[in-house]
Amino acid sequence: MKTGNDGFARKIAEQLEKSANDLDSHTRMRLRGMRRRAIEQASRKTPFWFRGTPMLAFASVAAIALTVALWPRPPGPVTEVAATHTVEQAAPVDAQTLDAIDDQGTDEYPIAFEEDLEFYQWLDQQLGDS
Amino acid sequence: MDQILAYPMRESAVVTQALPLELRLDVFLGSIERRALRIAEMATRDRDEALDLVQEAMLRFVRKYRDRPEGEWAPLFHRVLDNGIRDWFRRQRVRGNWLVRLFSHSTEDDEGDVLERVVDTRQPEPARAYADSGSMAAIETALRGLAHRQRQVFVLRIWEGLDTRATADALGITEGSVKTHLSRALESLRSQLGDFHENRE
Repeated sequence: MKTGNDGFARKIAEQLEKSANDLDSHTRMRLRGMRRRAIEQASRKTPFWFRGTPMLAFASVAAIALTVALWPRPPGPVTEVAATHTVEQAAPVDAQTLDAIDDQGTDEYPIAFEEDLEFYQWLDQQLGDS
Repeated sequence: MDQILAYPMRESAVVTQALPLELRLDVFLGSIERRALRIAEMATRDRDEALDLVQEAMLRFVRKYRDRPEGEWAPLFHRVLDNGIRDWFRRQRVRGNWLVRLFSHSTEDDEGDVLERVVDTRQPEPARAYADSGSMAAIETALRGLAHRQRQVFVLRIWEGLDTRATADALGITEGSVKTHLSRALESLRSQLGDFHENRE
């Protein structure tokens, strides 16, 4: 049994070896080129200070990104403008006052309307009382 | 089974430590590159893919293992090459271009290894290949019909001439698995190449 296996395996190995030795010249040339490139790589020693550089660079970028993301932001000017605008919008404008203005026959508010808002409110009350 | 003679013995690939590293690497890679190509080609069935795998194996081997003792170079190179072949199979499976058949049963000591059970189903019957193209085609067809692990064990033990321990190291399996796979590979090859064996004995 063992002798049979030896002969059988050896014959197969011989055929495989023959097929490897019969490679065409183009393939052999490519293999030679690959070997040369691999050996050239062996000749290039990596400087000791460069060995950890990729990892260090990645860690630095990650740390900077994290710092920027978590850094507390001061309130910006856009927020202030919005708040001011909201206060102005909250100023009471009586619908009746506006109706009274419309009755004057104009589609536009008087230029000083906002400045004299209290006067118009007083005027509206006087007209109502009378 | 462990007594099976390998062909040919590869002591000539180990050269003296007195030579420069580049020269020793050149001799070693030159002695192994053709067989490595044929091994990769049997797995991929594509010469260009096989050449890429051998190129990658050479580069990785030199980068990682050039300073290891020369006696370890052959199993280490084959480990790198085998890892490349396994990665290639996985990529092919992901791309959907890989036709495989997985046996439903598993072995006792390599249960988690899918490639253990992979069989290349793309080849014709060995007997037909033998009739068509002669013995080498029949052998290749029969080898491709083996599970990946069986084929790797066979070529490393019988063709590359590694002993059981070196083969186990190269493939990342136990020595017992090497013996089991070799036995099954021989049994399968014998059943497929019976005519070859009987006619050429």
